[in-house]
Amino acid sequence: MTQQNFIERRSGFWNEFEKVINGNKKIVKSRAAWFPPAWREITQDLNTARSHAFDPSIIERLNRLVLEGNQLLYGQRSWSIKIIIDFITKTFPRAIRSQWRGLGAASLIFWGLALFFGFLCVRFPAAVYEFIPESQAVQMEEMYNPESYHFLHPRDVGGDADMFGYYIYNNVAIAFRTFAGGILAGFGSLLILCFNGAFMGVIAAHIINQGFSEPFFSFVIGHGSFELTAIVLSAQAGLLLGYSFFVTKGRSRAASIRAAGKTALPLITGSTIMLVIAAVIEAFWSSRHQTPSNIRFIAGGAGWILLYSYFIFAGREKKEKKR
Amino acid sequence: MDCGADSSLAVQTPEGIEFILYPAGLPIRMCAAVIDSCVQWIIIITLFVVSYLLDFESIFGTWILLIMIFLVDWFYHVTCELCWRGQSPGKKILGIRVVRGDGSPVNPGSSFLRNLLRFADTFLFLYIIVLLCISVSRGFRRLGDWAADTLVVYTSQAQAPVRRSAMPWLQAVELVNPPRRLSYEEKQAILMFARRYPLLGKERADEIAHDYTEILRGEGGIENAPLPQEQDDSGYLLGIARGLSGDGL
Repeated sequence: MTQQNFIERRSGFWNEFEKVINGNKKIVKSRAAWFPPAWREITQDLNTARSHAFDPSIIERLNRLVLEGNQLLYGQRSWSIKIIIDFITKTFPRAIRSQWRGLGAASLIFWGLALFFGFLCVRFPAAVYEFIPESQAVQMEEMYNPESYHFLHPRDVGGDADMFGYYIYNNVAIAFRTFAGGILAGFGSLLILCFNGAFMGVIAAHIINQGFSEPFFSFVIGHGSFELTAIVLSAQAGLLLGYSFFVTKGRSRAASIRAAGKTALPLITGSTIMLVIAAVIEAFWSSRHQTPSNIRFIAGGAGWILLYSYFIFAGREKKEKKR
Repeated sequence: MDCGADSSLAVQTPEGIEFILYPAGLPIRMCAAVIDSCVQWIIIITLFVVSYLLDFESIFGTWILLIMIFLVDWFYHVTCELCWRGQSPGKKILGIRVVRGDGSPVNPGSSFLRNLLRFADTFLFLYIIVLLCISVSRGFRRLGDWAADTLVVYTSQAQAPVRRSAMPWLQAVELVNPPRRLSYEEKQAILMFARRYPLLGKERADEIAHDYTEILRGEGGIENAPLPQEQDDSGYLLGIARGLSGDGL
């Protein structure tokens, strides 16, 4: 076969294919049944052209048609509600269980630092001012002081919604940064995780020292289950990326990072969802100071138990299936 | 995944078909990033102006504004890449697109991942990380591209006009019969050379062609070879190219 008669024979078909590729959605839809076999034909032409070593411009044109056809053929993935339900009921809790060692380590760092600084500052109340400026300490006191203005004058729904927007804007961005920082050898994730753990410990201790522990803990217990766990989750997902860069387990570094990305994706996605839930709870439930604190403790505690039993039990395969 | 002598990458589809991707380098991606951040700023400023003019705050409260800013901040690229087959406005203008490592279109997961890591890539002073990472890695990938296994490649429209033009300058040279059967790579290399000939200038073209021409001439034996100084080096290769490109057939 010479180049000339190859072009003469096939170029009509190529033009037709090109028209569909460059066309709008309507044209693509009208040729939906024709397209996949046509694409295969084009790939065949590409192989022919290559094995005969035809002109690079022909090969490039066919290469282009194959690439664009590939984009079109595999592009239209439909969105279904089932994917989301599957993610929540199966993929996410499974991903968490598969990473329980890493998550345990990250939780230990976070809660360990929180407890350490908490006890330190309860024992030595003056130490608080070594870690945070006095103005911030006063501001924190004000936030949890039952006699302060906002305790006596509960804000309206509009105010709650504003806080909701702020929590999304702030907390989810922090989780994203915590995660992304992990790829820098794990440094970013670790830094933010440690900083948050220590900061939380210091603040909690300071509030306890002031004697406002009841309003404080009844406030944080509600959304803390989702929020704090989500921060730990995103930090662990980030640490996973950094870790995979150094410990490749026999794969190339690129393959190792790619695999870690795949593992980390459900974790960070789930953590995002958890933070949105946490923002809802924090804005619309935790701030209801007029609710008796007994009820808030019970509801908050139930939240913790439900969340962790979800992690442990959800999405397990039935035993019959396993065999 | 193979890589050629240039920056192109050969990838295989699940069907076992191999085709070539042309990853986009640092300068064009920087331009795209600049355009995209301009678009982001414009969106945010428009949001502020509109919410101020319509007095959003008293109707809905500020939370809508905050969430919109958050979405523009973190999900602008994801949304664009998913809606326009891997192209944000900046990428569309410059003719590049995000694809997965195997050439298939970008999916929600990989798009989300690569754009989350945008923060890590751009976080140090002067974007040192992203500059280094793109410059030294094969396929010009930044950290986010490595983790999500994506590539930024030229869309074919962008490179088509340059590469698909005819080569009228071949008509001027004399047809040369190659001394032996050339391999695929040799033929492609000669044709690529012929295509770029006008960009190189005569002297540089001769310099490039010299070593290879000498080998070919030596292999041809005495009876086949044109007289040594009858044709200059680049002319010799162009002559072969003329035969290969089908003009002489």
